[in-house]
Amino acid sequence: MSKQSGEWNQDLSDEKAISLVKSGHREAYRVIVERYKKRAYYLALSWVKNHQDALDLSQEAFIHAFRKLKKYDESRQFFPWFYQLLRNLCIDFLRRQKRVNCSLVEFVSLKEDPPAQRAELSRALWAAIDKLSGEQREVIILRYFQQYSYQEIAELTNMPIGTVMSTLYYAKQKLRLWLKEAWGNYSPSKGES
Amino acid sequence: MRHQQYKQLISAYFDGELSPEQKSQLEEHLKHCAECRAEFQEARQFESLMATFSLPQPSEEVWTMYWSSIYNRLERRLGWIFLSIGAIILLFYGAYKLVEEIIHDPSLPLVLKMGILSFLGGMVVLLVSFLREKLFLRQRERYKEVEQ
Repeated sequence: MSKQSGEWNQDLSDEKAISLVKSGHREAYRVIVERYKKRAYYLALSWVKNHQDALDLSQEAFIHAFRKLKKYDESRQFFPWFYQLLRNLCIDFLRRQKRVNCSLVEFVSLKEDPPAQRAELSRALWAAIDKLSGEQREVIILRYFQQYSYQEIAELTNMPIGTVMSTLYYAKQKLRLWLKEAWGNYSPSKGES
Repeated sequence: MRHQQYKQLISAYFDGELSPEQKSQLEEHLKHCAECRAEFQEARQFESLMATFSLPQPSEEVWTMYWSSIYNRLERRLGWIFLSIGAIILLFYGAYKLVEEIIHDPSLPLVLKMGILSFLGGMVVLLVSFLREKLFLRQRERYKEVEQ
């Protein structure tokens, strides 16, 4: 496998890139990794809530996917298939960890440097997202921070669209309630200085 | 349709997921329902807030090194596989030679021979059992939904 990037055009479709990998041009896998690395990382982050673990698990998922490519049915879209691997790795990781001893809030507060009020609102939001169940947090991250449609979320999570809609609804209701408790009237203008 | 269902439609409305018919149905309902209008306003406020947030970005170096890290891990794992195969072959060969030597050594008392063979036999059983368990766990569907 080559470490060089220029060998394959980054515009290659997933289908073509995977077909190339399967036919022995393993370096074409880099096209897939470059295309989905950020999405994979953020989705892992929504599960494990820790930068280093999210990075490791997302990379591990790409390695697993690479090994399983022979079994991959090319008539399916790559990312939903890959996401199942990633999700399983994250769930297995959490099961082995028994509990998540870190929080999205810590991660956010480390990375962001906004004005004080804005930071406080941000922390309240992430603390609220942190408190959601795994399933609810997953759909919130997919919807708001990855901009997936209900149809896409349904494909990624194997939920019926109706369940996606209701899960999102209840997750939003909880977030609104917890934000109100933590922040009162959470108008965005209030957070801006 | 009940208020609860309209509230779910309001949520889907802000997600841009309503069909034109559902949209008209909701708009019609909002004209007559103060409770759902209040829900609509609050949902709008929430959506405006959410639109101002994004996930924090890790440093650019993380993304630059991402592929290299995957490449290195794949390569390293291949090294470990070869190393493990070599170690297993050497281990079994050494054990075989050791057993052969013990059996054919007339100076060792029978009890000691039995003790050493039993010890080695136990090690083999434990190793096989451990490997079988690992293999079994790999094949099983072990991922269940984890609620935190």
